[in-house]
Amino acid sequence: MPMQPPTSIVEVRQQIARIKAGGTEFITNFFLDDAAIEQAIRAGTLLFAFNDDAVVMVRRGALFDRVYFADGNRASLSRTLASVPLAPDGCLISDLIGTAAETAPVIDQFVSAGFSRFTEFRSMYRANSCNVDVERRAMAEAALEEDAEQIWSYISGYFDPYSEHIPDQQEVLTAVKARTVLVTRNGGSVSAILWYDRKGASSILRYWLVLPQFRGRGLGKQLMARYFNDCADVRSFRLWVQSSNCRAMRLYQHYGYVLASRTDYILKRT
Amino acid sequence: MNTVLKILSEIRPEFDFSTSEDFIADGMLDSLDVVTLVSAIDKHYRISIAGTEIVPENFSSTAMIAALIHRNGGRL
Ligand SMILES: CC(C)(COP(=O)(O)OP(=O)(O)OC[C@H]1O[C@@H](n2cnc3c(N)ncnc32)[C@H](O)[C@@H]1OP(=O)(O)O)[C@@H](O)C(=O)NCCC(=O)NCCS
Repeated sequence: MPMQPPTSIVEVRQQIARIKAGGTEFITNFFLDDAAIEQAIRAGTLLFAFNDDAVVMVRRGALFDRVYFADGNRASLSRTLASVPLAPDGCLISDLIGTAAETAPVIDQFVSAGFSRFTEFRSMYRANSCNVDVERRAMAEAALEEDAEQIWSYISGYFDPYSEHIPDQQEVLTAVKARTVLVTRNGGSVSAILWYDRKGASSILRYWLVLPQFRGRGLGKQLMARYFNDCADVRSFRLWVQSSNCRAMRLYQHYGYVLASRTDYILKRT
Repeated sequence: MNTVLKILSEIRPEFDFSTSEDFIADGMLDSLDVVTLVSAIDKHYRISIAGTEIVPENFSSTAMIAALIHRNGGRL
């Protein structure tokens, strides 16, 4: 299937609707909201192709292309996925969100199309508030605009670019201006970061990172205390944690988070 | 209506959906939740909600969701 840029968001939505109406079993991993789709169309980074059973979309990135699909007939999914072109030295990343039982047969289709399981993230939410020592929160503060570059370099230096959406510098600056990036300082420079997003009654914890030399001294906890305090009116705290990061998972449980049923499976084809 | 509330609370157990007038504006359902909800409704009511109807406004309250199910041939 030749990939082309869609002319508009309507064209993308119409094709997905057609697949859903015609198929026997509709599945998709296309969760982008309209603003993100429009931005990708404007930037010319979104390409799509369709046949009778499926729509596939590719969002071009500097390091890898992200693959989205909407499929009406699971048996044909692996053929559709295998048709997505792979640039020389390129890499395709896709993800599937759901329970283990829901996603297992779909992951099989990805595997037959040449993808392999790369990593996975568990969804957690904070079911009950638990006492975090708020006395010490004063040491954590909202980041300043001049911290943005340092914050960006810590995040991009620590987190995995394939699976953990690394923000660009503009995105860091926007979040700093919105005062949703909290930091602690040691010797004048940033020693730890907690970045969250917020919409209405929901908040998502994006990054929680203490520089290695400052770990185990309570900085992580101060950031958490400040976060929960700043978001006192939030009713849903969510996050994604890498399944293999048992230490972080235990700490989140310690702060009142519990595992939700969803897992995000990251798949990669090189 | 109770079934809709039950499906919603399985998706976002941390919320009480009976107290909000606008799930989208209140940040109670995001685009991932909406797609999850569509598939749960399709399965439960044995219908297939039209793809063109999968827009946030149609999921803003239990009344809007009930109307959507009804329009797509589901019996509440
Ligand atoms: C996870 C992380 C942010 C924690 O920060 P930290 O500053 O080391 O944590 P703190 O010293 O504030 O300790 C937090 C809690 O864990 C406990 N703790 C600290 N070190 C511990 C250890 N080695 N074993 C068990 N518990 C420990 C503390 O007692 C504290 O509990 P409390 O609230 O009852 O006092 C930090 O280790 C880190 O940056 N890790 C790498 C990045 C990462 O995995 N981020 C999370 C995924 S996004």
